[in-house]
Amino acid sequence: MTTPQEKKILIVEDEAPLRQALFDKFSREGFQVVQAKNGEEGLVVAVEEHPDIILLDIIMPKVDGLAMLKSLRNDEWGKDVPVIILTNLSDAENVSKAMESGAYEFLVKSDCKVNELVNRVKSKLGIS
Amino acid sequence: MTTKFIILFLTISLIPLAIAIYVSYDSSKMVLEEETARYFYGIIDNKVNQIESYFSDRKEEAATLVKIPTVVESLERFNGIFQKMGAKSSEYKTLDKEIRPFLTYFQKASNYVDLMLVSPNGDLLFSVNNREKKAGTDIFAEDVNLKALFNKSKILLETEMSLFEYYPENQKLYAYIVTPVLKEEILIGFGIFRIDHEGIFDIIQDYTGLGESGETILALKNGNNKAIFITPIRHDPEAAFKREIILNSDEQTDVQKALQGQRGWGIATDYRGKEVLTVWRYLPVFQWGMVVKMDLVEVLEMVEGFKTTLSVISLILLIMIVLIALLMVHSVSGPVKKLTRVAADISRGNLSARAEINSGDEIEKLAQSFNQMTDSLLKTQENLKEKSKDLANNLENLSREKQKVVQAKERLDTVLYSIGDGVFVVDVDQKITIFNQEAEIISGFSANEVINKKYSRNLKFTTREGEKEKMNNRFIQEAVEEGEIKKISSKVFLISKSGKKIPISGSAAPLKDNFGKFIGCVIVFRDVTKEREIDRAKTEFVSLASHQLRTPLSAVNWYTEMLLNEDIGKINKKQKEYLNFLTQANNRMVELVNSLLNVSRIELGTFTIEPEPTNFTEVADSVIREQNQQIEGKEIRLTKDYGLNLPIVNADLKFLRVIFQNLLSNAVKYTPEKGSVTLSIKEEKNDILIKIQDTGYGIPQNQQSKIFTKLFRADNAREKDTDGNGLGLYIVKSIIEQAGGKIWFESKENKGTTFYVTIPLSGMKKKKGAEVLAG
Repeated sequence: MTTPQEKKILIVEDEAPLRQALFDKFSREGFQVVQAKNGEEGLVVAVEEHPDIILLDIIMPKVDGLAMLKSLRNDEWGKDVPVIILTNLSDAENVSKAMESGAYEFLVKSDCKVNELVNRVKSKLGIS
Repeated sequence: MTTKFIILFLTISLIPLAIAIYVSYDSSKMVLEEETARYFYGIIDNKVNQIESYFSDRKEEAATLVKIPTVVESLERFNGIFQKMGAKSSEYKTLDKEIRPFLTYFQKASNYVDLMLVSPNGDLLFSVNNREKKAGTDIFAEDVNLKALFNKSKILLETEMSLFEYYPENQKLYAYIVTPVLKEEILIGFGIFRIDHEGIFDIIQDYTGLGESGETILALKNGNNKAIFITPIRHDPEAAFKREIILNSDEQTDVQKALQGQRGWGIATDYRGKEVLTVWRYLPVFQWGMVVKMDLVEVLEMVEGFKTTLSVISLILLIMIVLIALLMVHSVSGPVKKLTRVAADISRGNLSARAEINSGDEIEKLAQSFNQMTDSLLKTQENLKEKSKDLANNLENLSREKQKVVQAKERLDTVLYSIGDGVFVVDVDQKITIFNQEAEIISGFSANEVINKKYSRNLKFTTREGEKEKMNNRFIQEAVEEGEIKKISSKVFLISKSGKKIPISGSAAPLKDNFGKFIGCVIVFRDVTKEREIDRAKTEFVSLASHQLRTPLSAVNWYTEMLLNEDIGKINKKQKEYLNFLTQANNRMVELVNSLLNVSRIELGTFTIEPEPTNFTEVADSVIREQNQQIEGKEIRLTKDYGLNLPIVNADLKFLRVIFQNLLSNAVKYTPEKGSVTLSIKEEKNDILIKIQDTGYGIPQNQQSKIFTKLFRADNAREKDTDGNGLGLYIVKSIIEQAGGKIWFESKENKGTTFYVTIPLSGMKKKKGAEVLAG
């Protein structure tokens, strides 16, 4: 039985309040949480920390989510890590781009509750 | 035809005539010759008789002469003296002197060459030509024949004549007549007369009946191989004893034959080289050959005369024949010519001409039929005149129509070339027949390059499917196959001549003729690069805008959620209440943003419909469960009325959900507490009919028409519930209609509203788009 404590989550989100909300929530749930505020940082942190799952925003300054995802997938380790795209974009183009780039799931922030998010992550990581 | 007839006639009549003439001429010639020959026979025989007569007369003469007493006496005396004294005695001489003149007289008178008195023994007693023959000479010495003659006469005591002998030195023919002299029936001596043949010259030279050219030839064999003419002849007076012919030659075969003892006649060539009719015979008595001949020309003179007569007769006949022929021909050709003239007249256009022929024969019948034919011709002509008038009218009309057509075409051409969109038309073989200016500009091809060629040769349409591109000319084919106007999909590009990919928009419409037969397709298209860019800009803007709008909303959402969750600490009732209001308000915003996004997608046409087999009742139930809270909160009695055995219909799940969500939430929202809502799903004709009936506030009559418009909310709805955004029904209607269904409602204020939705059993129409609905 896996516990949240054993798992590390990387949150890549440029909006501070949103990042904070996620960080707080997942921390409360017991996960190890690391964060980055753009794609560039995200890559660095990901490679350093080797999270078990990444929550990735798309619209970010410097390097956006999809670019980071692409780069990530080119990495030896990075190509396998599950990535949930968490964005407020909902157009099909971005969806397909994300999925083609290797995203595990595509969620629209304003349409989902944090609890839902937590549940999905838990289920992906095999936590009950 | 007259000529033909005459020629025929003449040929038929002249040939026998000619034959007849020839035959008659020929036979008359023959007859004439025969007749002439016969005649000549007469002449020749006559002449021979004359000759024989003449010599017979000479014999007679001689015989008579010696009967003259003087002569007897003379003979006696001579004989006496000769016997006693001989011829040389003087008594003889005296006697001679005495009697000579007397006997000479006789000799001369009878034209004897010589008159001789001879003793019964044959002694010459006296000869007038005593120079040659002196008395006492042996006259028989040289002349054997004479002796023979003498003996004959002596034996027979008859007057005998010898044959003539030819004496070339004298060029004379002599013969002897020996006649016994009798005194008292006692032979006392003989008279021997020598004669020549010139007495017959007259007979020979008698040309009676011998015309101008006829002559008689008398000839004598002279030697073995020659014959000599013994008389002068007409055409050669010197011929006597001069002209010879060689026997067994081709000369004077008539003379030769005569000398051979033959008798005959024929046509031969004489010594002059002229053709003669000749008759010959032999005079056995004299051993002469005689020929009577006449120039054939002269013989046939008669025939010539006949010939002339014949010619005249035949000429007359000829003229008669020609006249008869002409007459006959005229009797036939006359009417025929008349008929011909009438025919010519008719052919010139005078249809009133008729042939009047009363010949009582087939030609008359012909003329009658001819006239009948002309009558019917006249009628036909009149009919034709009528028809041609009609035709002329039609032609006029047609030409006017043509004019109109030409004008219409010109207008069309002008219009085509002025149209601001590209237009091209393909025929049944997919060859381009019309290509307007705008099409040239967009495609980069000139009309000349593409006209009469298959459009696919030059105009290449492609679609982008994801990253892939493929040829897509299907819209033209689909238009043709389905017989309907087909819009060019928004993903279609046209590759220009220069290779540039130009996004186009437009449609293909099949062209049919009056009988519904497909005759081509007209395609109208626009370069929508700008529009696409604008659309893309809009989409991007909307996307971005909604993103920006959503971001703060997400923050509010999560924090309020976490607060309500009591993640940060317990909250009291009032806190909860406030937080709930917040949540509600936030949800409204989220809802609005989603709706706006959808509206923009609908407006831009970028949304997708992806039908899959769907169980409508299941979806309905799911939506009902979702809204359970609201339903129970207002104590609404929800009744489900589902048809039995509803078919599975192709529908886009998300759409269907949106439809149910929208209508159900409206029904619940705008029905007061404890009201009722009925949801029925039934199969109706070719559709699934969804009916949502509520007992709510209804829609005011004067606002019903605006219900489906964007952002519209009826006044009473606003009063009752501030929560709606007025986009729901617009979105639902747009989707339903895009999917091939219908939506309408019935409503009475304060009574209730019923919304009807039909989705065809054939399913929602698939629509390709870039987006799915948000929310």
